[in-house]
Amino acid sequence: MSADHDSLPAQALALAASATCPAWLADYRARAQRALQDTAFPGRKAEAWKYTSLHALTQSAALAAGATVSRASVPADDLPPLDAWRVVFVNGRYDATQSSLPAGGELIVAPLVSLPDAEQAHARALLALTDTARLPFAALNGAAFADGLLVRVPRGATAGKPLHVVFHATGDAPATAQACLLVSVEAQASLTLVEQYTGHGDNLFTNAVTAIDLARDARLVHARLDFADHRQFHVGSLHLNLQGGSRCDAWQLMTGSRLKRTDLACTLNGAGAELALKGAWLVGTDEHADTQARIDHAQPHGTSDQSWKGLVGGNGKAVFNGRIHIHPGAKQTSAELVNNNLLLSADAEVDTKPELEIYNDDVKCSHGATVGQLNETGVFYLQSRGIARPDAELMLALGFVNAMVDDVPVPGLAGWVHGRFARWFAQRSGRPGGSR
Amino acid sequence: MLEIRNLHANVQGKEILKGLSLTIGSGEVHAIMGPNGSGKSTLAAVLSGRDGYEVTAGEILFNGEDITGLAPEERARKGMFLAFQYPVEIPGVSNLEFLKASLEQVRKAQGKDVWDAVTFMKKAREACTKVNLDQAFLKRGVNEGFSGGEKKRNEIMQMLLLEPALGILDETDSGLDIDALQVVAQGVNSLRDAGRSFVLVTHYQRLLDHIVPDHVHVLAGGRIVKSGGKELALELEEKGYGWLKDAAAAG
Repeated sequence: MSADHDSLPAQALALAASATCPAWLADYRARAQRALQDTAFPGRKAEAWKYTSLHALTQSAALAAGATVSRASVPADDLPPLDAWRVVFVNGRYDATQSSLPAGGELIVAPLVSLPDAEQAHARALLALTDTARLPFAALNGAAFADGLLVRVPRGATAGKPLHVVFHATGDAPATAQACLLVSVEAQASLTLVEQYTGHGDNLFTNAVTAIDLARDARLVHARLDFADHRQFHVGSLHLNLQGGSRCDAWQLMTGSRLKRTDLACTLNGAGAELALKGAWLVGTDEHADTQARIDHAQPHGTSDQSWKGLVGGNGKAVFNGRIHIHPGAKQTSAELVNNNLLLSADAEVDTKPELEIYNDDVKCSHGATVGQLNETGVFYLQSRGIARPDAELMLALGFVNAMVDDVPVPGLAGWVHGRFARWFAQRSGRPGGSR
Repeated sequence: MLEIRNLHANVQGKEILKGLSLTIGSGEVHAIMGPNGSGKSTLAAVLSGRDGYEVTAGEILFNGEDITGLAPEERARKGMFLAFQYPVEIPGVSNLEFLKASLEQVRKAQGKDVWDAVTFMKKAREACTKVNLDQAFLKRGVNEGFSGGEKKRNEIMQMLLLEPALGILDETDSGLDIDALQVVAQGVNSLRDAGRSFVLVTHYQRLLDHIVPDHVHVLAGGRIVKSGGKELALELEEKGYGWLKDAAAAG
């Protein structure tokens, strides 16, 4: 095992050394490279990586192979039918032919490699939100990314249509792609963002960083979808900064893969900020998904409300850590976290841990986690109405997670996600009952 | 329609039904009454094929066919319907989605036309109206957040759509106010015809004011200890179940 962890930094540094970037990003790049040199890549002794091994990644050729430049169309089947602006990256590179950018005004969208001078300060400010010191893969991203996307909604503006950003990983040869998405929603502005990871093929590693800043009284609807090929590797982090009076309604929806690790770092950094977060992971045969959600309440009168559900079948393994940190000044905070898991097989595993750290007495907090099996009374109820047992199990299991997306305020998205969940159940859950 | 012969059934290794026999003809309504713990709900569960209820002896003939070994969904497809005492909440599955799946399976098995989407919606709305359930309930999760009365009316609504040959109502009157009780009774009465039978499992007589049974049976100690006409229910209401315990012990 130690050989793995020795090879990871070397591979990462080799990747970083060969990366190129625009001159205006040189400072950030240098800082990320230093962080990468200083960071020990996590072994399983590190608490935050206790249940997730990087062995499969270090043993694959993906990281050593580095970035590839290739073109491929994203299959239509991979994309939800949205009335939205769409930006597509293929293997970490912007693909203009598959993208439709807004003309400007209420929504500024630009790839980092061709970023207008006037937008560079915005991008740098967003990159400063990324926690490269704590998250080694975020440091690797900063040290090695070749392109990315800046999204900015100017003060008081409302983006007329949702923005759909797709990072597609594909190809026959092993490769690593860095994905970088930077989003600034300025004061009193509003945006609906669908961030999606897609991909087909083996031995592909996507290392993603998303940094989002919501200024005073800004509004964001954010859905992060990851239903890429289960043979791929994905490590991603979301850095979300909420200023006073802002509100984010977020969904994190994913199926498992050979290695999937998602770190959320959300800071309620102004009085009265609100975060509503719903998530679902579906983890099946030979799949793994590790979600680490960390919410920092740094200012008073903030609200965070998290609900996560897991559906785990086959020999799949899901890991969740939900940490809520309430800082001394964050009086009258309300923070809730609930995580419910449904195991579909005897070999499925869930390791879930809510953590509360509270440094203020005047707060309302609750957290809880459950791990259970399909409700037999529910199965019997459906059977008694003529529905065969495998179909009854399917309905119950999918209903459990479908309920998480029913209220996504993006027309066309919930139904498409339901379809993806159903496909996962048929192909990956290790259960019969995919007939419906 | 239904013939139960010398039925013995265990729950968790304990014998609850101890030689129960009962014959229900086409078009008849039978009430099964009895004190708490007499085996009423066990009978309903055994008839519908619930897991964990083990038939150790005897048989259940439905239209002449022994259904003792059949799965619950197979019984439903043959035209049996159980209205639950405690209908189950199924979040994330809408009533519509559930009804559609149920009706497709049952109607297909019975050689009936599967309703197209328009017909299905029309029928579902009509059924809602009949049980005084707002149509908004069709889009909600199955029984999710429904009040006790709404859940019971939802059961009857499903029964109206499925048009079973045999409806088994397990304590459907429990927890209902008088208005809801009347709605439930009207639903059942509207389905009564020469080809359809009902088993009403109930502790109290009051449901039988609204759904008048052809036969009343008293279940005690896992056996039918007394049978009679509708007037037996009134007698039970007056005297309670105590006077029958001797009969149970003797039997």
